[in-house]
Amino acid sequence: MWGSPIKGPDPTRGMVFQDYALFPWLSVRDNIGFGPASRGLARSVVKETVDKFIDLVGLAKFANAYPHQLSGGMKQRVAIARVLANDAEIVLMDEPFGALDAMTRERLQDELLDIWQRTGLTVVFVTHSIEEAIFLADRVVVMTPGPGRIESDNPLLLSRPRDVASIEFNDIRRVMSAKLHSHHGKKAA
Amino acid sequence: MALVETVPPPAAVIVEKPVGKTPWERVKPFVLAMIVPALLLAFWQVATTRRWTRLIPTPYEVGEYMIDFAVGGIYDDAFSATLLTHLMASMSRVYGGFALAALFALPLGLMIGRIPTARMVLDPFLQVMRPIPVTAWLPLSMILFGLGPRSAFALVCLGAFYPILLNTIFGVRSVDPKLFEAASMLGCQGNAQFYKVVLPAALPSIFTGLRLGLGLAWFVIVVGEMTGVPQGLGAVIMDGRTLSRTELVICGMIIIGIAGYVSDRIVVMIGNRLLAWSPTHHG
Repeated sequence: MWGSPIKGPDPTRGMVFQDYALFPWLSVRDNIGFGPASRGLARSVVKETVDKFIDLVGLAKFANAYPHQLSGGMKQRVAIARVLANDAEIVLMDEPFGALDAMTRERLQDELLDIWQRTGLTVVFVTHSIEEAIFLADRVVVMTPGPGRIESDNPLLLSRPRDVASIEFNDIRRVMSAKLHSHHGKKAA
Repeated sequence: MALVETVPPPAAVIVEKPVGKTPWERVKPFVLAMIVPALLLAFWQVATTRRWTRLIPTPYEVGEYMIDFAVGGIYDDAFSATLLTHLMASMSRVYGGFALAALFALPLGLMIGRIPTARMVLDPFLQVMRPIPVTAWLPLSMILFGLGPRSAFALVCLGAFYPILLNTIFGVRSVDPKLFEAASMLGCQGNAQFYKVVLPAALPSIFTGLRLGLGLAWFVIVVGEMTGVPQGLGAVIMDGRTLSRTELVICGMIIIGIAGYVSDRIVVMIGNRLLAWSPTHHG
């Protein structure tokens, strides 16, 4: 990554899991502070970092709530804030919306775009949904199934906010579908 | 779009129940809980006054004896006003044996749960030892620890040991693997994960084990005090049995029941405090 090989888990690559994998025994505040605290930063520095990112994702009011008290969207925001607070430069999201109903998924997509626009974060997003890829991504990488190789790399120049019902959107969707025609596979954005 | 405006109110706020319960709602749990004891008491009363059995005293006699047992002044025999002495003796064995059991079972459980070799060495042995009831250990315990309180202590400890051990192992082994990945990703690796992930994640299960263990410690106190100890509620029940004083036996049973119940409620209250984060852990 950025010229250096990847050797193992590293705080600069944050991961947002499908079910967020928040620590259920920690409050929102302590979940976000987990990384900085693990690195042995001073308590005041941890607090400052947590305050900054808790505000960024709009959860200041829920700082002391536990994960089971939060909605799916709020959990996602905690998961993102958690990796941001740990100095992540790139966030990997592996089908984070895979298990959700369509309504919730749309709301979370909007929230993700909102955070992405405010932070300028790089997100690698794995999805099986062509529509999701086109709605979110600047760049869509189509993967072949097992072994996962890159089938094609497609920059998306569609302006934002994107409308899934627009003609342009559907043109792109048609092209992408064709690329997936022979191999049914994943797309990364 | 401002994020804050899209935030639904948290479950924590909604959960707050409206104040101002009706008087009936307030006393309802108590009234419902009293139905079965009241029926039992009524049946006991009828059975003894109609002389279906001559060996069991009436509730009134037991009640009277209970007062004498607690404060004296009615029969003034060897057991009058000794309740507190016996209760304290039993409590010291229950809590002492429980604490000792926890002292062994917790580290052992964490080890068996975390280290595969320890599991392979110890688990088969413990699984074979586990079904052996505490009663069966009584003779051996008296040989090993002698007649008296040390034996009682050992038996109570044994009774509390397995639930603590097994629940600790279960708790440690059933930590969501995703949480380890998440911790690694956030820079918490190796042994630090034990304190930061394993222990807190296993805590609800460990707590259940402690609660069951303490319950069993009360459960086996009578067997534990069959070992020839002069004081204790178990000893009182055994004395009542040899002297054919059934009212004494029933008093002992009631007190063990109440003491065990109160001790469990205290543990549950502590648990609700410590495990407020756990949605499934409210007893």
